[in-house]
Amino acid sequence: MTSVGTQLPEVRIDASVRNIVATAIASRDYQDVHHDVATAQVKGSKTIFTNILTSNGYVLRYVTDFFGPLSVIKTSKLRLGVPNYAGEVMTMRGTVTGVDGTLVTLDVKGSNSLGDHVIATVTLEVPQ
Amino acid sequence: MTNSAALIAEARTHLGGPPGPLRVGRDPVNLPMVHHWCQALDDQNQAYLDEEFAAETRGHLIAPPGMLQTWTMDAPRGAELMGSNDHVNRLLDEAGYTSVVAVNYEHEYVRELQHGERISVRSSAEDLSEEKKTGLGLGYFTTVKHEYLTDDGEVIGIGRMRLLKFKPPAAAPEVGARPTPAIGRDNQFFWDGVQAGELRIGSCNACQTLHHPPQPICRACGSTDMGHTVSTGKGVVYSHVTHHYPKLQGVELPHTVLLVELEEGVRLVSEWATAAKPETTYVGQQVQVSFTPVPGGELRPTFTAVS
Repeated sequence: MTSVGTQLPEVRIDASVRNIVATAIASRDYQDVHHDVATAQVKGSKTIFTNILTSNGYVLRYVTDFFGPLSVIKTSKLRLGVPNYAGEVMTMRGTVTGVDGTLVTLDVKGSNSLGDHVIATVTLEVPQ
Repeated sequence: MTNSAALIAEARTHLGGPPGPLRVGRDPVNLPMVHHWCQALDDQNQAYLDEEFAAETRGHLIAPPGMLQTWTMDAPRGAELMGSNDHVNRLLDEAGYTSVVAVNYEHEYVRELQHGERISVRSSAEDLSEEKKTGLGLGYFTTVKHEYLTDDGEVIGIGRMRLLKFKPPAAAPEVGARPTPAIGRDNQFFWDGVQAGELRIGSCNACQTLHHPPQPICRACGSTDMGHTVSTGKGVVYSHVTHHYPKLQGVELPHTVLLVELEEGVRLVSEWATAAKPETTYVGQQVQVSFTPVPGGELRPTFTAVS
């Protein structure tokens, strides 16, 4: 039973080099900062980091894993914070902030050792 | 009007302007790319992967909504395909705001996508802020709107990305090389010791009194027969002060100056082996000498704390 204040269980996601490269290419994002450590460092980053499409994908996966395959994502709004560098572990946390009939609104946060990587608001339809 | 201001003003004329030409996705929504995405993100949603489940529920598989932009990702485009958003970015680049970081990424998924649907996108510049002072440097926030359409023109998704285009701040000025010591006959032994990894202390060969800094005549007995001894390098912080301003050549600020009393009884002015840490420095702190390169690469006797 979903109600305002329902907390989703924490999920941890390893940001390995392989994971960052695989997800960037699976989203057809060929920016070098997502697969080339040396170039990422020349551009001022510590190492390669997760691309935005993937961060969004993880937020949505976290929500649909909880609400099931019949749920329908309507909107996702991400604020982007610290980078999710290779070697980090991102912990996902979520709280239901609104229930209006079948429309559910959540706050979702993905945090790593540097702070909040992504702060999101997601709305979805959850069939009764 | 400065050149930069003129470029920004020109960028504003593109806001709300026509979107770039429709860019058609290379491939229609398809199962192999969905498989690739689901494996990479470890997403096992049956709505994306399980045909039987899909047939019994929606009647068909759907694409993960997070893949919306993926269907239209492509290689960089030539100038002839530029839309208003490309013009805004180009003008910001020309004005010196060359670095970019994404701040917001927002989507409205109007409806779910089925395999076989071909997705196109048109992008337009929606907003350009005033110049802002940010933690990363001076910059402008820009918002680009992406409208995703099917072949018959139905809008099936809207994306907005807000970017900060900023001027990378100038690198911290080089502190330059630490001035080299003035070496003469009286103190040659001290600096030779530094090269040899020894902390040498001047001593009077007549009365054994120790002296630092090196000097030609014994203050105790007046002898000019001076030699040296090698210190254990162990001591305590007798006093310390942290220098913040003005800048000094070859010194990274803030710089903590240590007055160390060696266990042989003489004191010498020195510094920490690593960056200044005034908040953890205290009188009576036990320290041990080490020989460390300072800016410019020369070795100096420095100290590290011992527990």
